[in-house]
Parts: sequence; C-alpha cells; structure tokens
Amino acid sequence: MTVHNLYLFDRDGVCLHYSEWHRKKQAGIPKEEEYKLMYGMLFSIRSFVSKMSPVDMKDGFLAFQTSRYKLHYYETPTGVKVVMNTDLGVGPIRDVLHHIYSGSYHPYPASYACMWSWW
Amino acid sequence: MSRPGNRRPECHKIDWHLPAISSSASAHSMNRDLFVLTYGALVAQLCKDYEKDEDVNNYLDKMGYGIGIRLVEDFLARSCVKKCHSYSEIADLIAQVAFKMYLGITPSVTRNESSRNEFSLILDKNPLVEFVEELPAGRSSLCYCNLLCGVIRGALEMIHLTADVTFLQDRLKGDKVTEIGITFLKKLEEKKCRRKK
Repeated sequence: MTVHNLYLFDRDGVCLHYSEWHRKKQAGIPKEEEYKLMYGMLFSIRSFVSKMSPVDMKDGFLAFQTSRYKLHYYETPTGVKVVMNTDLGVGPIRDVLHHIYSGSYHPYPASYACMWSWW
Repeated sequence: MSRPGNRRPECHKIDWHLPAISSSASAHSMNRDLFVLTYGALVAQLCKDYEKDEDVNNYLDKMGYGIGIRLVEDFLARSCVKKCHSYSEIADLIAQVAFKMYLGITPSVTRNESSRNEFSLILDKNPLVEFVEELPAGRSSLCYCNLLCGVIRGALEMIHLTADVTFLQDRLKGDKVTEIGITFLKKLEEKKCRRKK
C-alpha cells in the first residue's frame, strides 16, 4: 500500500496543504497551477456526477482510479476537501480522510472560533 | 442584573477537547460557571458600550456569526454526521447534537405546520442565563442570548444555507418559554473559486 500525495482545499479553492511521499512523476507545471487544476477537476467532476447520476445520489463523487493510481476524495458539508492519491491496493478510505480533516484541519478554525470572531 | 453566586463547592466541568496546538494548550476543561459568568460580563460590557438594545443585539449576533462559521468545522469533525436531506433533519441535528455537544441541553424542535421551512427550538433550560434573574431596567428589548442566534446562522451559512434566526420568546422577558425561531431561506450556490483580487 502506497500513499503518493495529499491535498487539502478550503471551500474557496485555496490549497491549504500539500504533502508528497512517494511521487515518481511530477505534473510538469508550477505547483500553483497544479492545485488550481486539481480543484477545477474536482469541482467539475462533482457537478458531472450529480447531474448524470442514473439513481438518487447519496455521497456523490468518492474516488476514481486509473491503471496505476487511485484518487480518493472526501468533502465536508462546509466545503473543505481532502484528496489523497494512493496505489491501487487501497480500498475505500473515507474514514481515514475524515480523520485527517478532524485531526489536522478542524482544530484550527475551532480554536480560532472564540479568539478572533469577537473582533 | 445578576445575583451574587452562593455556589456549592463542586465544579461543573466542560471538557472542550481543545487541540494540542502548543505544549501548554493541550486538552483542558473549563469550569461551566466561568463560561456563563464570562458571557454575562461580555453582555454587561456591551450594554455599557451601546445605548440602544438593538445595537447590543446586533453586535451579539455578529459575534455569534463569527463563532458559528468556525465552530461548525469542529461540530462536523466531532459528530461525524451524515449529509442531511431535509430542513427538519437539520433542525433536529442542531437541537439534539449541536446544543447537546456545546451547551449540554437538548431543546425540543417544533415545526410550523403552514410552512415547511420554519422551525422553533424550545429551550427548557438555558445555561447561559443561570445567574440572570431579570433584564436590567431600561433594557427590556435586550436579547441576552442573541449570540446563539448568530452562531446558528453562521454555522448554517457555512453549509450553504441562509437562515433567519431570532428569539421568538424569552423567559427573561416574561414569556413562558425561551424559543429560538429558525426560518430557512434560499440555498447558497457553491462558487468555483474566489476571485483573487
């Protein structure tokens, strides 16, 4: 099981975090462009999936896979998006992505909730 | 406005599960009385700063909004709730999970029969007014807990729902119960990207 990289996007499309562990091939474009491309693709595919779904949608877009890697997607109701690329041996990992969100991202807005919002 | 506290020695602790973002800020508990009294002090200071009740109410709502837009992330992370498919599910979630998680109370939810997007939360117990007997003289229109309305409004906006949240009844104003009315308005469209200025 290999984890290639991880992206974290906020609701406005800003890439909050990117980590890379085992990426053998780069995209060949600047990182900023890569983040925009990734976010744009996710936005389009989510909208496509919900429009073209032949049955009632439940969770929406979850993952896609190619012959070499799998892209896993998790989005919170507030629009925070966690994207992880892994090899093909990895099954559904929504709970893992949720754990990344709740362990790494959410503590920051939560702790600022009471500090900054009063000014 | 407040009666002096002749409190029992036992402390009611709320475990906030605050993140360990620094070595000195690991998960710690907060005394409930401290929280309630701090809120009272905040409202008292706002009453000194603003003459009109409306201004105090608006400012409390604004503060609550700022808290709500951030607190919703904490709520979603800790409660692991599934996506809601109706306004009544959301109202139930707010009452049975969110209020329980943050204030330790479970308001009951009533729905306006004539409109499918109007709901009310009836609070039997309100911990924020524990030390408040009555509103001060000359402050009869003050919504003491208006921060809660702002929090709910901010939290809903972050999940792409606009709502009108106000106090419909308030025990502090002589009503029988405290009632928060939530009227769901339009859904917000998701923007692709924020335009960079």
